[in-house]
Amino acid sequence: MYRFIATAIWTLAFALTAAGLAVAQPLENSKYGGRPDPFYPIESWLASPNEQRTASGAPGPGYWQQQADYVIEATLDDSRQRISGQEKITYVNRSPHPLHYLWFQLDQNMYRTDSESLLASRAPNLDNRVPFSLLRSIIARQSFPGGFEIASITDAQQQPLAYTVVGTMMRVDLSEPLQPEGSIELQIAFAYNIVDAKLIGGRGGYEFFPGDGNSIYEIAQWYPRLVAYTDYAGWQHQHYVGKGEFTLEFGDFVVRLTVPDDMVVAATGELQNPTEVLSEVQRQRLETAATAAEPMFIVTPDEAKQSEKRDRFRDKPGTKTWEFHAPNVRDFAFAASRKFIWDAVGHRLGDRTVMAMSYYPNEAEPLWSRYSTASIVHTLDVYSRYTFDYPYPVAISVNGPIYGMEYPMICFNGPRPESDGTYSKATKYGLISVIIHEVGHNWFPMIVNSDERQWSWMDEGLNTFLQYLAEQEWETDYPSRRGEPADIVGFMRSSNQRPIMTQSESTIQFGNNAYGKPATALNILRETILGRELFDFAFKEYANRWRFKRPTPEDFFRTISDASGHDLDWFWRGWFFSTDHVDLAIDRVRLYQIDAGDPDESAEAQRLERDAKPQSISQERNAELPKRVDLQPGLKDFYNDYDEFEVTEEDRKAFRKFLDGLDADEQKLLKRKSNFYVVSFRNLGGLISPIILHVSYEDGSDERLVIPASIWNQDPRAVDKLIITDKTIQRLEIDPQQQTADAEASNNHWPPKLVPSRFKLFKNEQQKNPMQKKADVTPKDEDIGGDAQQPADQRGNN
Amino acid sequence: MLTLLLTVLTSTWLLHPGHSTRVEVQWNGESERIELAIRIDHGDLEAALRKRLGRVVRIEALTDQQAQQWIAPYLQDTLRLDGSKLTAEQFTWVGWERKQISSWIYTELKPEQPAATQLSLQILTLLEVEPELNHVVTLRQGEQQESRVLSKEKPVIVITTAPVTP
Repeated sequence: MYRFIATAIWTLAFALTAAGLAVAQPLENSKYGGRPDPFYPIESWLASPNEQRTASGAPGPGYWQQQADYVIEATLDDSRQRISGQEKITYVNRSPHPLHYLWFQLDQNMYRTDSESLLASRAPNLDNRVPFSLLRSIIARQSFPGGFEIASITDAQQQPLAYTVVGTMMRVDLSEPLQPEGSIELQIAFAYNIVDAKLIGGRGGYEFFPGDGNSIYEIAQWYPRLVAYTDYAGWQHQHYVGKGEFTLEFGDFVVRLTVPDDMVVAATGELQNPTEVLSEVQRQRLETAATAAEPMFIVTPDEAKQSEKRDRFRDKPGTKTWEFHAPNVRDFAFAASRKFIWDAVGHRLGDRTVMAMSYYPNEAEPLWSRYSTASIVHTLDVYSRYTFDYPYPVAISVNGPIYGMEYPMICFNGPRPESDGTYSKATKYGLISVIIHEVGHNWFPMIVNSDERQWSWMDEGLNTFLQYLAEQEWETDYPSRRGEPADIVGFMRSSNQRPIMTQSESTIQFGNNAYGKPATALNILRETILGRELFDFAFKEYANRWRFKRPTPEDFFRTISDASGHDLDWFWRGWFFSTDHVDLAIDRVRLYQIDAGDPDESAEAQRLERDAKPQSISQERNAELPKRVDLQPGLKDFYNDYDEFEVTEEDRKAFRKFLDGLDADEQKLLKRKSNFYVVSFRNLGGLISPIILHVSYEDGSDERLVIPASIWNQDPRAVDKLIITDKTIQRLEIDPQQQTADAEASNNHWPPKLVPSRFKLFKNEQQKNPMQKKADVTPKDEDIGGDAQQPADQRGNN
Repeated sequence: MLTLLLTVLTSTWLLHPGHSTRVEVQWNGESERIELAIRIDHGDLEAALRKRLGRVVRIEALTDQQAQQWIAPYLQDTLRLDGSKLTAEQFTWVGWERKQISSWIYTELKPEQPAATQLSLQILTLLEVEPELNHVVTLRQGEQQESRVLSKEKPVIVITTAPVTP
């Protein structure tokens, strides 16, 4: 635990500039077993509230963020698979600090052979065979001439500026400091070779189709981008290594992309010159699609086939320049190919129409025309409802070499059917899910601009949570892969973990840690701890507070607590700062009843208890033996006939006197016949959780008790709970609907119940004959439930 | 060689992660076998079978007999006990449960030396098609359960075959 705390402090200190982190945890308490208090406020771990970020989690009156506007002119060279371009950047310094230099991200430098990403890679397991596909990839990567080529950097007066490339970053030195509220213009000429994404991998690149000689280009992280400069971290110094994606400044983009004239381009932003790049027919179709009920083709499958048949070298196509404008986005990406089918539909959102559009090759049919744009529309509806209306004019899904990657207004998604056009359920749902996820990233982090290079969970976790909600609204029993608490149990219980609050590159088991665990935590917070109404209000508040702004983890934690009216420090601490898991157990159950003191009732009860006590085997066998005192009655005296439970008149008189001294309420209370059950719970996993207790009574009725997590605040390891009922409890079960991610079901029952393994359950099921299966009759010799009633004070199986 | 493999790992990091299985394992002292249940996403399994068989296999269309015919040998080839491949006698296909996009597959593994007190189980399944995949393994030992996350770098879990003291 202490090692965890050290990690949490270190990772926070990395991102936060607050000075208050030195006191991060109460001192070790030897009189409390040295254990930390899971309800200790986490405020001392978080950055102190200030003018930029308030204690309620909202942006403060002094909140600021930089602005970077881009005008980019770039050319895609299809024959050399190369991008070259020139960008003009207007950078506005809204910080209160003068800046002597600017930092840029050069993410393509990750493909240099001297990149940190390569040099800092850990040793893999070499024990197993290396497939040919990997070998081909290895060889290609070794010989690939990747990385940015910077031709020039000049200021507004065309004067060269000094610059220094540092890994995947570049510092540009200013001739004079950029003052607060000042702005600067600079131009950068750049080029790089596009990576073969199918061979080498990446978040962007090209896919070559040998059958027709064409490529699909998905171009991202492709121009020198200004690094974020923030109130909490200054310049963001995390290099691009691989897992941590990016964060950037918002700005307005004007991008002119010159591509072969037979290619179709999809991009962040709105197309400005359709008359120059689209045919008359395509423009008419687009206009019709804007008000159509269902997606319609702008470029049909047949037209795409005709286009891809063109010999790109023999015909020597000319070029066209596509111009896109994208205001208030944090990045710009595009895709281009002559293989693209293009479908679109206008979707009304409030008083606006958003064009939902998909671009894909014939190889993606018939799956894509059926599901891609429909998935975009579904995402726009569901995410908008839980956060804010999608603010951009277009939402685009592109099929190409990248399995799933997001950029503002555009995302790249990989699933395709087989070559014969058939597809499996896995492919179908994989496509719908990845499109929901990647379109969903428009909200987190493209608009709610968290730093995903630092904290992956802030976008992946929140987005996976909303993805789960959206999937469940697609169809009943949609096969979501993440979100249900039961699905995270194995990971939560496993070793070799780091907390969710770990810097992106240091995160272990990325998928479970950055996606699954935070999504599940939010689902539990919504369904079990806060309830849907409170949670949804708080989550929406967070999204709206920070749309087009830059939240940190504490802004999220504080806003959800602030807007829900709940102190959730214990929850953030357990789920986000620790690697504990939920494992609650029923230890024992004790039954108490009111003894009114009536001597006759008491004597009768004691007599019954004595008579109910079973005889020992010797007592039973000795009962028939002749007894000496029966043969010689003179041996009997007072004690042989004495009734130890006999009630005297004096006893009765004393009881009546006692009753006369009580008022009417007290007398009524004394006559109450309730059962008082004291249920002892243990917390074996360490993670604090509400106790969801299902109570089954002897009369066949049942009820669900929700015991708040605060019951653990005195002792987080063990606690007793009193249940008062006029009924007799027959069974108790913790978390019967698996809503808390309780890792161990076998200790959740009273009386104890043996929970069979999945393997045994399957084998038992197989041993049933069809009639038994239909009637759901279990063979008698397979009584694995062990569900028999046991005495009230019997200890549980822990 | 080492440098070359490091490069591959770097590139695969760039994709959004998402591939994992759930595995439940326990030692059955009576039958002296490991009982193993593994939940595999159909997409991953289809990719592995396609690579192995050189043809498209649609999991949702398989009969029980076809599933045993194609999936069982694959699992037998990708599981190891104490570092050794399993013979046909050591591997038993118990059955499978097909869900919408994943299936639970049930097998029994018999060690070569029944007297061993510990066995190492190596799960290489799917790693040839998804090198970043995790096997989230829950190991039952007596009444205790523990979990491990196995990967290409650490694909081994040790199973105690001696009776566990409560």
